[in-house]
Amino acid sequence: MAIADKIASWQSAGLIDADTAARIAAFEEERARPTALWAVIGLGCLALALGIANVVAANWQAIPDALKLGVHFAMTAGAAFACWRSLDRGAVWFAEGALFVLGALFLAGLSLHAQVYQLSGEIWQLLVTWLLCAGPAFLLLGRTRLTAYALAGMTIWAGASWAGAANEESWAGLFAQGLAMSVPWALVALAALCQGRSRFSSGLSEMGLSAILIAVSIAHVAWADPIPEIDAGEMRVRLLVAGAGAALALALAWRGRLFPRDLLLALVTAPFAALVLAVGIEHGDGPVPRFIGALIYAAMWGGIAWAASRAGWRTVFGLAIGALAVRLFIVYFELFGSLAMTGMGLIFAGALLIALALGWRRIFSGFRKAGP
Amino acid sequence: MTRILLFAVLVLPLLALAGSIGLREAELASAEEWVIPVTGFDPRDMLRGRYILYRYDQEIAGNVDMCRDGKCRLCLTGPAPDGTRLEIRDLPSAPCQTGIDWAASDLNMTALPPFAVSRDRDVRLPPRFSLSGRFFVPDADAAALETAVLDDQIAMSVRITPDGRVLNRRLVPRIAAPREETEK
Repeated sequence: MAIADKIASWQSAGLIDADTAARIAAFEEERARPTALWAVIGLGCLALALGIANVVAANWQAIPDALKLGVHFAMTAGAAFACWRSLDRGAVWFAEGALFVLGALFLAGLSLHAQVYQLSGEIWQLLVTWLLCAGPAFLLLGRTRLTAYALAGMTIWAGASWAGAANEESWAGLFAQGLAMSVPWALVALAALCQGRSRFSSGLSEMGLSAILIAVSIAHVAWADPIPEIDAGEMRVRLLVAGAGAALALALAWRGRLFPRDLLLALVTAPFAALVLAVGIEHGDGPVPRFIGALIYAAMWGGIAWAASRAGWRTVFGLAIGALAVRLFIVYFELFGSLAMTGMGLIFAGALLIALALGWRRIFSGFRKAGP
Repeated sequence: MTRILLFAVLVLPLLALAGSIGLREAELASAEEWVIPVTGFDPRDMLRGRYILYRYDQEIAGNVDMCRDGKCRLCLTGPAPDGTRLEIRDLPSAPCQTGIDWAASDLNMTALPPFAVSRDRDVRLPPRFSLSGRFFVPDADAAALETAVLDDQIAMSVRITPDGRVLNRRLVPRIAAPREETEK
């Protein structure tokens, strides 16, 4: 509904008088931005940037290698210099922007060197090189979520590609995969160490916890597949390493009071426990393991919802309820079969969803303070 | 101290880039120049620009079957820069004047079993053994190169480092083969 319609509605309901309505309308008019105009200008800028990129790309092979490397190096040095000067002047957002551009240019530089000198290798080697060379600058100079998300995203990507390339038939390979699995928990541990820079710290912990919760929710699908003892045994080796990462994260975050402690306990330990049960223990793929898996999933997200409601963290509570709702809806697909079974599935999933929504509404109305 | 550390982490990416350029240039300085005939498909217009899917068009000597598990040794028998002859040796450690490390060179190796090659001479099938890759070309030269590639007139000028890495430099006209001249 447009603001003018809302003002008219409030005025007709007797909430505001004509004078207030006129003042609100004048205030909103003054604050209004020409969104459509900006959108068209933005579209023009995008076309311009794409056009320049295409012209350069069309003549890319005709540009001498030395010129490519030289211009790229000058741009990277410029970004580093801009970051340094902006930090000196206390211009946080300029420094952040320059640092982000420095990281992007360094990544592009690794690709450029690979192209000019025809280097080949695995993606994890490129990402680990980025982490070793540009990661320290992000870690020590990052101030906001922009650089935190970039650093965390690159770390998770590097870990995932490293795990994919590791040799699963050796102990070293399993250890490497365990290290890669512990990356999201390591991000939470780093967040606890960077609390002096609150937005950067929040960015790291948000990315770490998001990765943990998404990965464990997906791993829950393992309950629909048989896990033989040999696979479970290998997974326990990986989990041992990942568990050490989770324990470190818990200890540092607990000590630094990164989150309310009930919530921290639920966010760090419940997903790890659910992961161990889903992939670290031999099980079949029949209805009983699936039902147990669904209960464990519900217990994990239910525990998080309960802790979030106690801590007053409405967003986390909402996410947990949403995750439970998605799982309940999946019950319908699990019971999909004959017409009668499909009907039963719909009735069961629908009833559970309505009960969940009513419970959610009741708990939400009980929140006394708004959380993050 | 903190200021020095912050400066150091900011300069680290620059040092890494400069170091990488220095290392690669030193490697190139000790590389040997070869000209290897290539054949291939016409340049393709893809998102990343125009390129040629090329295949080295060489005389192959030696046992191709040794390469089916990727463990053979590939040697250019020269003399440099004539890269028209390639010899397959049995062991990766076999001595070689100029060896090619195809895996480190972003090349694809195909070694087909004997039964994959048709006896029907009218059917043009890929050779039993080939080294292939992709080479990006400037937009302006693409049409002329397309004709030259299809007419089998093109060779790739490469630099080969002492550890066998092949670096494509540019497409050049083929070197006239001395044996053909002898036959004439």
